Amino acid sequence: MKVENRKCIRRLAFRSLKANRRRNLIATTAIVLTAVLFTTMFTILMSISATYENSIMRELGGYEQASFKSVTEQDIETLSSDRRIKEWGVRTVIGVNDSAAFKKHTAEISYMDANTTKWSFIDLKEGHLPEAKNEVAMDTEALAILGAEPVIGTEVTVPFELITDQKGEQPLEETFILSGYWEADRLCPAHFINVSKSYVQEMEQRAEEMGLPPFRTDLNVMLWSTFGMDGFLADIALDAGYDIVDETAPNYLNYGINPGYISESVSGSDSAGTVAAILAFTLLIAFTGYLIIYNVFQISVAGDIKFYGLLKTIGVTSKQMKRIIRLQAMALCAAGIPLGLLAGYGLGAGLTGIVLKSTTMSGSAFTVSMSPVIFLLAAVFELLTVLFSTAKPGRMAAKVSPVEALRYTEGGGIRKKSAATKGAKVRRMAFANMGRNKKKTVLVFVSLALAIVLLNTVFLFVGGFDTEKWLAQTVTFDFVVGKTDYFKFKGAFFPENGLAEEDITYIRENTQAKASGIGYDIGCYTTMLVDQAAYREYVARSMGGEDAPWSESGEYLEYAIAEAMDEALIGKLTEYEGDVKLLNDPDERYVAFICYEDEYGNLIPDADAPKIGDKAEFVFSGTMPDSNGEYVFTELGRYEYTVAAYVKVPQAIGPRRGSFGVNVIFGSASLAKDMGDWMVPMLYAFDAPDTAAENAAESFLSAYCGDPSSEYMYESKAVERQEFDETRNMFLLLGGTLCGIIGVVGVLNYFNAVMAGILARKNEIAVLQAIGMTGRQVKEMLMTEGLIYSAGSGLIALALSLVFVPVLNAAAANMFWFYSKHFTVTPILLILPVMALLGICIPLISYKNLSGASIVDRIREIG
Amino acid sequence: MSILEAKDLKKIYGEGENAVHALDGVNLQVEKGEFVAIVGTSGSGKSTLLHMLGGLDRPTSGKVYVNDVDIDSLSDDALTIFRRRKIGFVFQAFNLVPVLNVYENVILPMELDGVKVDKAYVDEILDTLMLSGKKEALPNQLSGGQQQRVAIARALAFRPAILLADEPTGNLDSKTGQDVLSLLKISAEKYAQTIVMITHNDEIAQLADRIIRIEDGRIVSTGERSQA
Repeated sequence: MKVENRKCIRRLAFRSLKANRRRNLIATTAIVLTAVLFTTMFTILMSISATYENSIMRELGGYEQASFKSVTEQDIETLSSDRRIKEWGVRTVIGVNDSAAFKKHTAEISYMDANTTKWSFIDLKEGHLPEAKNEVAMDTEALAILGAEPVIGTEVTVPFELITDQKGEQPLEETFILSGYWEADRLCPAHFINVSKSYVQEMEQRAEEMGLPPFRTDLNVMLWSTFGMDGFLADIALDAGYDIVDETAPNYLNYGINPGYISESVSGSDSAGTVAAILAFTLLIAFTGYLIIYNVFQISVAGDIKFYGLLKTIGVTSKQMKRIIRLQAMALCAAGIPLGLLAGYGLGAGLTGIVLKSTTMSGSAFTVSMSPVIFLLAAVFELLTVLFSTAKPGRMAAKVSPVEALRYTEGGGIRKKSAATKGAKVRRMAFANMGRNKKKTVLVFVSLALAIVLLNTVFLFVGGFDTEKWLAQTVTFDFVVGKTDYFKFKGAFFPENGLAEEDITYIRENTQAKASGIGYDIGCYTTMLVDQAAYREYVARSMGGEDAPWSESGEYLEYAIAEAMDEALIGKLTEYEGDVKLLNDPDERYVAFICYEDEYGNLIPDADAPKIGDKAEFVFSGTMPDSNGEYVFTELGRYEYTVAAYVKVPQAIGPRRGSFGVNVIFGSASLAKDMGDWMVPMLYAFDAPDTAAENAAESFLSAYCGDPSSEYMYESKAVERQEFDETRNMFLLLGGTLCGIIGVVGVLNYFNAVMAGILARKNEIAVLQAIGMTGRQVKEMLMTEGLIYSAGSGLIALALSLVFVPVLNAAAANMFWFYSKHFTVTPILLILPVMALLGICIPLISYKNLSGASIVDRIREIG
Repeated sequence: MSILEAKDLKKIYGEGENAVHALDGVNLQVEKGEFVAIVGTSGSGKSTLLHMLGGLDRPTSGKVYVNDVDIDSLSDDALTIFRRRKIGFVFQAFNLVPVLNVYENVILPMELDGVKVDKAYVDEILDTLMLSGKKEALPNQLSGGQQQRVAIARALAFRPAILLADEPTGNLDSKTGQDVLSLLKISAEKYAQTIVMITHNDEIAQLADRIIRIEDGRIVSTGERSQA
């Protein structure tokens, strides 16, 4: 019984669907556009996440999910046969080369099987993996460093030390034949130099002869799912009879999960804000879609109310009526959603590229996610939007009373009044017509105004991104040069992590500087003497309560992150209290304590810092050879310093090493007298005297640091400005795309409302013409209506913007410190003429459609 | 036994001074197989009465019984279902579903109900109404008389308890109107169908077994059967 009646409802739904071509076109376009917005958003989100994951994996050197460490052939056989392991691969590292040439990225000489090779992001450009004993494969950059051409069959000499030869006492050198190579990956932490399995076996024997322990082989695995990996790995090991707890047990087996897969811990920090933003965005898109889809269906149901009344008379129940509307909506979805998903995916993929270009994530890791989740989520959200939008029109059709439907005309009443009092005043009629269906009019106003307000907001927002404010804060010097380590927040504790004197000289010789100076790290343990109470507090705060004084004498020493600065750098510090210039005195011992900024931008002095003018004693210790040549931890000196100032240090020239213990700045001239041997130049900063010199320095440094063998990096005003502008343009593009799509939806809505209004009044207009209204007057009336829509939504947008601009300004300024509050409604004023043009054109086009048929035909076309 | 009964039926539009008593206490009984014409001038309340009898609208007070069922006691959806099973409508404006062809229009009430369509019976009705050749045609491809005959076929197809016709010839010229009515009467006799027809045309009303006159919402003459 059910089946029979379903078929009939379906027939009714689809037949009347076919009869509604204009509505279908507009509704489907709206569905496509909202689906595009949803898909684009999800594609961008998922791709950023995938790219982030990819770049993390690349920085880690591989995307295998986990590894069993130090396994034997026997272990591999046992473990790899476990059904919970989907795929496995092995790697044996035999040697390294971390000499100066490979300083940026160490070279690792190892054997990798096919799977491990694949998982290590190695994509052979030419040739094959090493098979014969004398074959080798590596990346193009390693080849360049070793002085060989990327040509298969070339001889490559590889100097290295065995990995087990820890003191590097027996360096080796081997000449191989190049069997394959791949493009170097800047993100990869090491240069992989791959050798054959037979070579590894030969080296194993040689290592044994040299009295060295055997090499380590790791078993890399992929499980069926990344979910609950830890448990599965433990089970695999335990089931194979290994001990995973007791490190001394003979059957102890260690395993590790690739940190790249533990993504929650990486991205979890700002997730609440992100989720809120995504939610707000989803709602905005859903609302945009709702505005038009609801409007389209509402207008169409109202227009076909007699039809629905008739169905009711014949015996269609409200449930069946709702199903008719729902089926029609679903049919439109079936056409619109796939199109929207495809277009949205394309757009999303394109925009992701642009978004990522302005972030720190390198382009080489750029991944467009192909996750089905994107399509699933977008389709579900779109379906929900459509169902929600058509629910009310469906209820309206279902509730229709058969008798009422026979009498139904849109609105009614009001028009009569104006016609009676003002006669044939065309403009008055237009105004009165707007009031006939207030809900419809308001919806059109809102959907148009929404697009305009958004456009204005995007321009307001992007316009507030203040490049100079950003540069003033982030760029302290025109140029800052340092070792890669410094910019990676590792400081320069060891001399090899610092700038070499001759390199500084070389840079100085090749650039012009108005002001320049060096920031030094201190290559020994720097500590401050504190009393017991302060020490307890410090320990509780930073080390979780482990109470152990560092000094053997029983003194309480708090760790200090310290930087010594030349006069030029000290000049860029912001004083919170005191006089920082005292640090420049080479003959007096002064120290400045670094202040912190709370989330409101207020400076807060270090809690453990003594008062200005008080004394603080610093103890420097390091490892020194004693009389027997043994290295022991020794006190190198202790000096009393007067606290000169509390200061704020710009990040660009600061220690960039977190904020453990106290953070202090010394004057380099004064500290050099006491601890000169331990000062490591960490950064060289300078300002160019003019633009020409700045440009010259920029191109010099770009070439100097860009060389693959160079260990230096630099930051500059020009690079910073370019990056900031790129970010700004990205926001402009994203916002513009969003506005564009929402704008099209708004115009569609407008078009639909005007068109439906004219079609619904087809007969009425014909009657007006029959009683003497000229075609010109009809056009005038319709155009006036169109202009009211334009002016109305323009005014609403203007009013909303006047209210919201200050609120948005405040919110943006709160979120982004580099945001400058400003006022603009220019975009609205610029869009108004466009709106006016639409207001004139759309009614005219619609009327032209209508005026084809004769007046008599149009009057007859009732009932 | 009366198949249709109205008891003290009142319908008031508006309130207070503006109240319009469209029906002011109508009592009416229709026997099975009767062909009753309700005649009255424009505004006399005859259309309102028909709407009440057919359950299209609810009375302000009073009862309507169809097959002894108090139709006012039914919920909207139950009433809709009752209507499609028990009451057939023929309107002045034909009111065919424009997107369905003749055959689909005729079987629609049965399909909505989910009952099996008695194809032989439907074909027979279409044949009686001389529509056999037009089964595939859409309403807008038919003349007014043909459209009204389709509407009659649709009303008869479910074998309703009563058939209500509201000015069925109002949109037709007099010759076509006569033809359509003749066919309606032939069908009614053939299938022993009860018919209540509204008209303002006395000539057409003469075809009925009984004529009820209504004025200002009250029945002024019940037209006893013996008169005919």
